[in-house]
Amino acid sequence: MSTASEKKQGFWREMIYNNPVFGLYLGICSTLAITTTLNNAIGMGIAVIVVLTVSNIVISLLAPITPDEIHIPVYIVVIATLVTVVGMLMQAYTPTLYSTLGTFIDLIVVNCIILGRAEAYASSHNVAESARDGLMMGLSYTFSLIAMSLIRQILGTGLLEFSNPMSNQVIFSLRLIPEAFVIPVFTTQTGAFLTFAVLAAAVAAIKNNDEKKEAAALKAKADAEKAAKAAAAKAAAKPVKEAA
Amino acid sequence: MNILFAILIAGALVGLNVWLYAANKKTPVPEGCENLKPDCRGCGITDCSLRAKVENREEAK
Amino acid sequence: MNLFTLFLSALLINNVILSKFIGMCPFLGVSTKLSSAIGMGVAVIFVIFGASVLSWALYYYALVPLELQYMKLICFILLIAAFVQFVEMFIKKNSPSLYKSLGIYLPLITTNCAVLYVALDNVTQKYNLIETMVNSIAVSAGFMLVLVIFATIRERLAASDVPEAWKGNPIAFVVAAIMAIAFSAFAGLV
Repeated sequence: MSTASEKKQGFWREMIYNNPVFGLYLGICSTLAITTTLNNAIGMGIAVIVVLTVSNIVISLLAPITPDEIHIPVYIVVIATLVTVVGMLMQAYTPTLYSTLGTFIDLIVVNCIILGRAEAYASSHNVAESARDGLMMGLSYTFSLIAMSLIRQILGTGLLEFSNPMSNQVIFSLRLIPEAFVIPVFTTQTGAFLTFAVLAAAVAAIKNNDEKKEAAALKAKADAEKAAKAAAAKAAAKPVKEAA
Repeated sequence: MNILFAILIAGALVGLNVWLYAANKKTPVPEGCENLKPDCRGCGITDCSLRAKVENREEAK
Repeated sequence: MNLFTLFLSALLINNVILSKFIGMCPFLGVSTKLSSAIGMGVAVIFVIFGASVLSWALYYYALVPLELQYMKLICFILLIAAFVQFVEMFIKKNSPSLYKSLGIYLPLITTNCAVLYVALDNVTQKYNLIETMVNSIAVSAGFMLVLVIFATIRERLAASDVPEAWKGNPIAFVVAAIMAIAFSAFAGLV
């Protein structure tokens, strides 16, 4: 695994390989529920980025002084406080977005990504590293939300639309599919599951493909080494024969 | 005044958590249940205590 | 609201998993075997019922009189975590046989979004105590129902020939999509 992952440490690679949603199946509940429009996806994504980054920073600061027995309640309090703050800000500045996202803002508390990153990463790394990790995880989560919402919105309503969450003014609206040809099922629950299945399978296919390539490359390398060894052995054996 | 109550309630709940967590750890697992096998490898919750158990067992194998 | 209507709509029409997408993590994790699905389902029913009654009481007897409603998220999640610990300890002490079948699933439940969702939902919908009880039983029974149906399908799925990239979770989502179509037929029930 390590050879290829060292080679391609690019931004997109991190987005696909460490994708928390389609690769690790974390935070699926909100991904499925709120990706009906691009607006929702971006709003939710930003909320998660903020909570995840700040919670990672706070927890990496708190971790060294927190006794082991109480770390879970402490992390929960930190995360729940942040979510409450973000929820209140959204209620004040983007009320429509807040009401469409509804309980899913509150449910960020139990979003597996956040507690998972706190436990697995932030508790054992320094502040800068934890902040970077939170930002990257949040970005790849947002990226997944946007991918899903684009597919669902375009196929389901035929429109590509984005509006200002503060004033509800439509910023741009583009009809890509004529109204007679849209597939409304993509805006329903069924469409959510199907879109998710296709994207998850695509990520799995990319991973499988890369693994196969790596295995082939390793095998080729091993074969070449074997051949070289055999040749060396032959070369070593020859003078002996000649001497005999 | 209200802030005081808020801190008090949150503090009490954290205290309750810590106490129950410690008490739960102290309570021995009943006989015959020491090696229960969770079947949850499809799950992605990486901070779950069960996951650590499953992974340890797989490594031991 | 009529209690029976409330029960039916929370159980089938607004099913937590297929219609609200809540509790997906354990849904994917534990649904590969029928026996684990039943164990998880029973544990979830028990915890959701207890936790939502407790949070309801905490909200109306402590937070509302003190005007601390904004604390509900922090309080509920802490209460749920404490309740799960308590239940695990209680079962360990008093019923080893129950622990054998449920114990392994209890720690999983703290991070189950369904528990927090029901506790918050009861408060936002302004349910009274009876309605809270009915709602929490119906939601968790709906969770178990879908979990069990899904586990039986997945047991068959394990033996079928699925394309490489679709193995495991992706194909499970396709099954869930088909089940969501079936459950959407309940919409006209009430």
